Amino acid sequence: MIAVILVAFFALVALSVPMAVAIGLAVVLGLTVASPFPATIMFQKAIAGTDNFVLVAIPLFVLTGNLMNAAGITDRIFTFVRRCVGFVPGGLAYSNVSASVVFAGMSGSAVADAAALGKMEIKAMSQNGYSTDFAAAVTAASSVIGPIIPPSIPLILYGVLAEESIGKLFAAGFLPGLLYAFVLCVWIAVMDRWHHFPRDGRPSLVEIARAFGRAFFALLTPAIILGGLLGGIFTPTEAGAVAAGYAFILAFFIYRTVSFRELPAILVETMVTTAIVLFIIANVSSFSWALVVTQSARDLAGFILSVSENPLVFLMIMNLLLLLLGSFIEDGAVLILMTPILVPIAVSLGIDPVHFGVIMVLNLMIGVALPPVGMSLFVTAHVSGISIERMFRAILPFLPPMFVTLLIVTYWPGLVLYIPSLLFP
Amino acid sequence: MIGLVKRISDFANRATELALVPIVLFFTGLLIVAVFSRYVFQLPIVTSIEMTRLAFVWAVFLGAAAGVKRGVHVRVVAFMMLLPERLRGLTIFVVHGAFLVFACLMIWHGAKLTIQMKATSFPTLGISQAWLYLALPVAGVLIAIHAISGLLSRTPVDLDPLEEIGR
Repeated sequence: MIAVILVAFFALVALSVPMAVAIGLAVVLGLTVASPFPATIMFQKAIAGTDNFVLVAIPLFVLTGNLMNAAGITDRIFTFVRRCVGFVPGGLAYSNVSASVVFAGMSGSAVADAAALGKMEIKAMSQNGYSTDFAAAVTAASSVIGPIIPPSIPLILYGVLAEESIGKLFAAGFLPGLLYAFVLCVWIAVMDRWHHFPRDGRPSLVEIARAFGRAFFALLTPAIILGGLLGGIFTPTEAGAVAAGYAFILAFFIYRTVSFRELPAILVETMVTTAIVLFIIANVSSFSWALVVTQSARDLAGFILSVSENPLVFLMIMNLLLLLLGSFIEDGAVLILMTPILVPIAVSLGIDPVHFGVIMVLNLMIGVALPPVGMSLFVTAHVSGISIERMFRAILPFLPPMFVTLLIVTYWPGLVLYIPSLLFP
Repeated sequence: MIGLVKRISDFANRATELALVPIVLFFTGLLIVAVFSRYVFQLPIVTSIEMTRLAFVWAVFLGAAAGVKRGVHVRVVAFMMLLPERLRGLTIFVVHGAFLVFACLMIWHGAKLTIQMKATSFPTLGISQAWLYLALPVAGVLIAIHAISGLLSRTPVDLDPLEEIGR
């Protein structure tokens, strides 16, 4: 049955049939021609896979990001971090990275980060003497931080599919996200030796205080989400609801930058964005079930273990495989397809599933900033007005910090698992 | 004929998007109220989780149907791009056709499941689980309408990647 499903799936995907429908049709075919089970199971699993309280967190965090964007808080955050770090050489580049770190604490998607902050960041940088290509590349590279630092939509997907605690995964993403931001900043400092980046004038304390005041309520969002989540006050779904409610109050009552007439469009946009991922989840549910009933995951694990039983080698193969897949296929789709297959193998090799989740998500997010189909590259190229070919060249100098971070995160589980071990003893 | 089908598809999508607004507001609002009621008033709302999940499943399937209308479902176009221009035009039929076949399966099996589940009820809500499974045939009908309209009017599916993410 699995062979029929896989062959049909890859054939349909190659014909550019949407992923969700391709897996659905493939499973129906597999069930009908090569199994004793009725095809109805596919649809029963589709509902059962969607009917999950944890998944409700996804539209809530998407909604939070959309409301925050509409409210124009990205501008307040960027101005604040620019006042704080803009006066050092290359200050705007560091501001770009830091703004992504702050925004990552309220949004869960890399593309949202690139689109929301990108326009303003690239404009500010190119007006202040940076090349547009460099500005766009920093923006794309720093957008990777968004889904590593919690909240994170990919980590929610992974948690649901691998049956891991979302709280633990969120806690685990925190340090790797900061590490990546740090490595990126070090790299920018190295580049500064050749490029001699411009700097802003030194701001007065009053200016910093004023920028902080303007950004205060926005800066509170990550504090509420992370504090509530990591402090064990909310479940991830409740944290999403509280964050969305807070964003709603900010947008409509405190900053008053959005009118109620815009609300329906924001809600529909949120749900369509969510449904694209969830429709794949729904249809993959039956595939995960088929893997279990046919015990294929065990067979595949046996095969991979016969190649190498060394977890370090396995992780290296996974990194290469995920980077390859992640740079060609949408990250959510790869995550949904590969998690049920890879996690049992990782666990049988003694790799912590929380650590493995962070590795998977980091790989796929780097894929978002990697040619030829990295979505962040298309978005930043679009908002900066340069061609996609120029964007592909511009991102190349930023690949080393990505791969260095990936290697550290892969081979230093202690870093990833430090905060979870404190919070979930 | 083509015009009529397209108008039905447009109308069905407006109705879908209109229905999504209160559903998303409902489960978001319900969750916020539930958190406050539990922490501030020490009163857990027992049925809130099941109501949220029911609303969420409907929102997902209606959203998926709206996604078909907008042409935003994720596809891998890398292989199609290798084909000559003339063959590439056929993707319109492949994509809309695949949606149509899948929608018909959703309607058929979804209806079967809805009838089967009539007797089973939610543990705390007390209503029939048929309400949950009904989302399948309803979304199936919507997707079928959009797919037929897409086939007849040959709505292009090769949007550039930016449009595919809805921007």
